[in-house]
Amino acid sequence: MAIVQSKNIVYRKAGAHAFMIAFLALIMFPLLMVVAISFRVGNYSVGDLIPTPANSTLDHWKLALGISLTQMSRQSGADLHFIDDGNGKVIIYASENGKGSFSAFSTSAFTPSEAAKLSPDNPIVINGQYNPEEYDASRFKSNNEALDLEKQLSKKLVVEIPSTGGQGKDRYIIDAVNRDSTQFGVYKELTIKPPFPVLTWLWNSIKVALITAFLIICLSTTSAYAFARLRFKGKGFILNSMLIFQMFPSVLALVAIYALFDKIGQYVPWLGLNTHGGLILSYMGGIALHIWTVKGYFETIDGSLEEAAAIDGATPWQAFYMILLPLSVPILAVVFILAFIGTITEVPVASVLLMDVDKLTLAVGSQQYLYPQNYLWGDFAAAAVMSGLPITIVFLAAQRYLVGGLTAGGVKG
Amino acid sequence: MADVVLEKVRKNYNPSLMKDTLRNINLNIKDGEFIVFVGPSGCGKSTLLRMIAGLEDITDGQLMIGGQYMNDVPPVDRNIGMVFQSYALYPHMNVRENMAFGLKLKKMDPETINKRVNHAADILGLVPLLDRKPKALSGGQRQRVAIGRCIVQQPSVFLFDEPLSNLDAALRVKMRIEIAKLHQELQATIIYVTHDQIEAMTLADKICVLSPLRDDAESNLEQYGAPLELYHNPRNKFVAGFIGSPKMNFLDCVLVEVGERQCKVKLNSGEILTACVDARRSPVGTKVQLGIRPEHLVPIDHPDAMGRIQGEVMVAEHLGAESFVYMNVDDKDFTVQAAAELNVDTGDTLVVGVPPQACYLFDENDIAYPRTTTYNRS
Repeated sequence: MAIVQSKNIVYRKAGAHAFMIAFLALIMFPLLMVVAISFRVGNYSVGDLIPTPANSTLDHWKLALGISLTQMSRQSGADLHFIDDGNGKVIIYASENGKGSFSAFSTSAFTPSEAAKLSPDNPIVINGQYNPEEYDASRFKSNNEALDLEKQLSKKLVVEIPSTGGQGKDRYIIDAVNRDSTQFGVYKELTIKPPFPVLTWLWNSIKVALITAFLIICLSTTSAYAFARLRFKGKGFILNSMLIFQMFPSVLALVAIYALFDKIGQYVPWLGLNTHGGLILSYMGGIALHIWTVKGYFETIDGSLEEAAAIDGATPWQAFYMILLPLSVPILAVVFILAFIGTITEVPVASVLLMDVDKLTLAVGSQQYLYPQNYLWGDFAAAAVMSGLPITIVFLAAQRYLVGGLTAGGVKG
Repeated sequence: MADVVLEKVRKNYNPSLMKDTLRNINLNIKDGEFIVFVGPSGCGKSTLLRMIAGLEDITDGQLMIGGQYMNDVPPVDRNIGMVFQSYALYPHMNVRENMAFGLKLKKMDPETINKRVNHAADILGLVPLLDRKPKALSGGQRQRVAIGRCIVQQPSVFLFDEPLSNLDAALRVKMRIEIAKLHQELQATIIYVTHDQIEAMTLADKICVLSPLRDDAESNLEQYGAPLELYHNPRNKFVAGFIGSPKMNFLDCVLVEVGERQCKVKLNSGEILTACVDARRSPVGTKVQLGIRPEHLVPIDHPDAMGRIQGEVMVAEHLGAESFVYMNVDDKDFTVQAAAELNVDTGDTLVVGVPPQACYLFDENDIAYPRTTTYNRS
């Protein structure tokens, strides 16, 4: 605007800018907080917004992405013994002092030079438990030699023995308790499996949301076309009542929806309870607002375009998809985005209709992290951030269709 | 090419209300004729055109195109082409695609389509614009594309719905001439809706004057005839007032003498005027209305000036080539088209001469008495 303004506009402008920045910060804070929590060690909701290297971890994200975590658990009571077998080779065995949870084992004999080749990928495999009683602690060659060996073996000696449970193998790592000490401990490698199939949930969400948004576009454009262009009895009444019924939150009808889909499922199993088909069908009910939106847009397009098409020989359907739809791309993009976001963030209906853990959507499933005894905020935050990704991608993809001026030049305006 | 015949056509948009938009329309349009529908806003002239096009259904009566009953035939099979007031070009297609759209729908082979599009573009001077989108065209160019889209279909009847009303004055004149040329070239039947009577008078072979339907009226088709026929011998006061610009002046008067060739009327001012009108069907003393076109009034010293009318000048417009003087006669507006050099001002009293041959006379039902002659001011 090139309107001449009085001088105090500068202060008002600065004030407005300050307000906008503060407002933006207020909006951005929760998002940044969730991102920060998802990268922070532990499952705490409070902490610094900006993570430090010391308390950052990718563990929450690994779990969310379905990657197992490995943790080292020190076997209390385990004692290491380095034994010279008299042929220039060394045997290590770990014994149990007192009552530990750890089973005693011993390694095959190896020369000290072979120890240099050992690594976590190249472990010494033990076929079974050994009776440590055969070895006498007095057969240590010398204490210094043992210490040298220990240093060489640091972080390298991995021992696999058949798991006590019978299946698979347990991995033990022999490592220093800390970098400076010469005291070695036995660590059991524990695998933490992802508690929930978050990627499956994400895929479920995307699948349901994409199909729903597509079907909503199909339904709302065709019905909006009818409402915008055709003359029929009760048009205004139907339009208004649709709007009013949509004002009641769908949560109020949860019981009814449950009963309805229970019944539908008896006849059409793939539309029943605990199916994505049923969930999509239930979302189809919420298109009244979209119909209003699209209808409003259709009404801005001159009807003479379709009349001209009719004279050119187009059927109403051809006029609809060859003339009207290409001109309505911006509103289709808007409806698609709205429907997609609405579906992907919807919880109440999905939580009632879906039961199996691997069928849940992300919005419903991520709440599983928050059971009253233990709020796993970190894991939850990672899942929450992930659920924002498809929305962002869809929005960025649809953005280029949000253009104006498509109908310019068609009619005298 | 085809005749278009309408018989007792009626249109009612809302059947629950007994309010017709059009009633009892009878028209016989011959092959190759240029017909113009005129009338004030809301008279149903566009509705009538849309009924012929098939965009509105016909409530009653029948429509024949080329001898075939067309009431229930969809627009595409009526062999018509239509040009809309708003042009209605498809904004997402370029000019070539716009023109070829209908032909593609009819699954014509691309070669024929190309030939027809190029031919139409040639006629209309659109060849350099074929690859442009409508938004890159000017109003006149858009209108030509709309006409071109019609031509490629090779319809037997062209329908034009106020095609020039969105153009500026200069372009309108140019396009009017182009449409006239197009009619000569194509020799097609053209039905043209307008409210601009210059377009109507210049383009039409025949004009069809429609009026807003009154509840008691038998029909709102007021008169159907050649332009000059309507100008010289309007059937009633509505047509007389509608055809001609500026509008005809009307004055209340009383018949004082009737004869075969002419009659005499007395104005409210007491002035007696002679009119070349056969008013013998009404007795002396009947209240009638005198109609005089502004362009037929002459100076009082003119040899044709038998009667006089006097009034107070309200506004005088000097256009250079001529002057329009708006006066108050008998408390009614009265327009005079006078010579450019006429020097009058607001408040002056002006006396103008009335040639008897220029008078029109209407009875109390607004029906015209037959005129015995016509008049052109020399």
